Amino acid sequence: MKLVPLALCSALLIPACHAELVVIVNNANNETISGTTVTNIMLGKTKAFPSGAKAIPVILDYEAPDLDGFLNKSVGKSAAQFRAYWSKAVFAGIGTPPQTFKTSQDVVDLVARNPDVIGIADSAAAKGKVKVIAMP
Amino acid sequence: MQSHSATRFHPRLSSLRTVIAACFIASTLTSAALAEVSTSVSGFGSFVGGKVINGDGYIANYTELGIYGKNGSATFGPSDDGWMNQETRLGVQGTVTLDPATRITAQVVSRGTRSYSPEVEWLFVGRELATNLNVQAGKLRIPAYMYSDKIDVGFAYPWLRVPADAYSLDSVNFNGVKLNYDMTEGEFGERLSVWAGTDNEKNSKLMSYLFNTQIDRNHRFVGIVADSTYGPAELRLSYTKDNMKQATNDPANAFRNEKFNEEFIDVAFQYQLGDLTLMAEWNRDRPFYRSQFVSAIYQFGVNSVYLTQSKFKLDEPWEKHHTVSLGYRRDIGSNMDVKFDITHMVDEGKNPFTGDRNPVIKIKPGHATTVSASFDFIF
Repeated sequence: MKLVPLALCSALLIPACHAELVVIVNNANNETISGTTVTNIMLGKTKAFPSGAKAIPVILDYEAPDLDGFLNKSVGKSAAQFRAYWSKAVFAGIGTPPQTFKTSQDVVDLVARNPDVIGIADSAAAKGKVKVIAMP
Repeated sequence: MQSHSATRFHPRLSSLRTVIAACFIASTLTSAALAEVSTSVSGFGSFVGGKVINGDGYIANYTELGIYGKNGSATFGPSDDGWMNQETRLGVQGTVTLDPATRITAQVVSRGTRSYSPEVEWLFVGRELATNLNVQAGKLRIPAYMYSDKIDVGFAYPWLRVPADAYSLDSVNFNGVKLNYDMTEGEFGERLSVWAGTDNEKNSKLMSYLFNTQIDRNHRFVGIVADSTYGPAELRLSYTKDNMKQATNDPANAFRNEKFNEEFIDVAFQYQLGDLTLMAEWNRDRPFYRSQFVSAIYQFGVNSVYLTQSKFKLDEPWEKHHTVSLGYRRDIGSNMDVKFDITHMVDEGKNPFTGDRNPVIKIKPGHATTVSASFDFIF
């Protein structure tokens, strides 16, 4: 799956008045990121992008609207299943779940500042500031 | 010029200056290090209540001796007064991140079976040696089973309890070292772990109960675990070797002061087919027993139902039983759930000398039906 620049997403895929959750990376990130890579990073199965560069996942608060459905679609787990999955790593002391943020703006700001970060945020907040990764 | 003037210092002053400089550098480094230090606290809990509705008693957790006894049963330890205390537990875990690669983790657990007295169950240092390689040293969980790491975290698994028949090792933690290597390639993931350590079980809860006398066990472990995932499938293999010494002052005990070369092999498989998850785990503990479970879990929205069958068979004829559990889970938000479970155990053990029913279950017959409910959460 090719990484699709935000402009293309904005122009072709995302209706202007309808915000939805998307996976975003820094504008300087030129990795080719597939849905499988996103899943592996979000589930902590890998800590790096395909090139080997460090990858730090962040997401919205678990109570954020639409997060449950988006995690189901993109990672194959509901928010509860996602947290249950991560609790294994947390309570085994071998991993830390993606840091959560209250607003999409917080996620976008962090992704815009740090090229290592990959996040889930609202497409409206992401527009023009970061790259959006097309998900299947 | 500076070096010239420095030579005018008395040697002791020069030494003092060196010490001051070292202190300054050390304090600077320490400050820098402390600036990096961060802490986090997380936790879990399960409030579990159960009642035997048919039969005299049911062992729901062998390691912790979580036993639901029917009122009036003298052989089953707790009476109905203990119906909320057999599996209820609360855990708090603190993690101190010393630097991006080094963390100290401590987990304190309070259990109903131990009068809710908090005990440090895990305490270890973890360090990333490379991107995919990390080492842990300290007091850790023995990774014998697929659910060993999260056996206390009810929210992390679909059942009200892990299948007791297949999760009955008496020793659960060890003091030692564990090395983990992770690899991911597309949908394929692999985690390899090797570990070694010891555990001194003074008055082993399970063994002392089974033999009606104090049993002490000293373990020396080495083990290896290979956990492979491919898309919705997971296969986990573990092998543990244990040089175990068992001691008791009871002269009548057949296993008095014996040494065992114990081997534990566990094979676990999980496959997710849409909303249906299938799981199976089989293990062999040489020279003592074999056990297993199979389970199907169907998820619909925030609800799920499960059907599980498990078996335990001692190599000697004394102990043999199988269990069927039917249960329901409902997620509440993203960090809580409630579960209901009905479990029926069929006792097939017997005393080979007298033909009496199961001497481990200690009642005849040991068949039992138990209903349970739980509330699990993490934070």
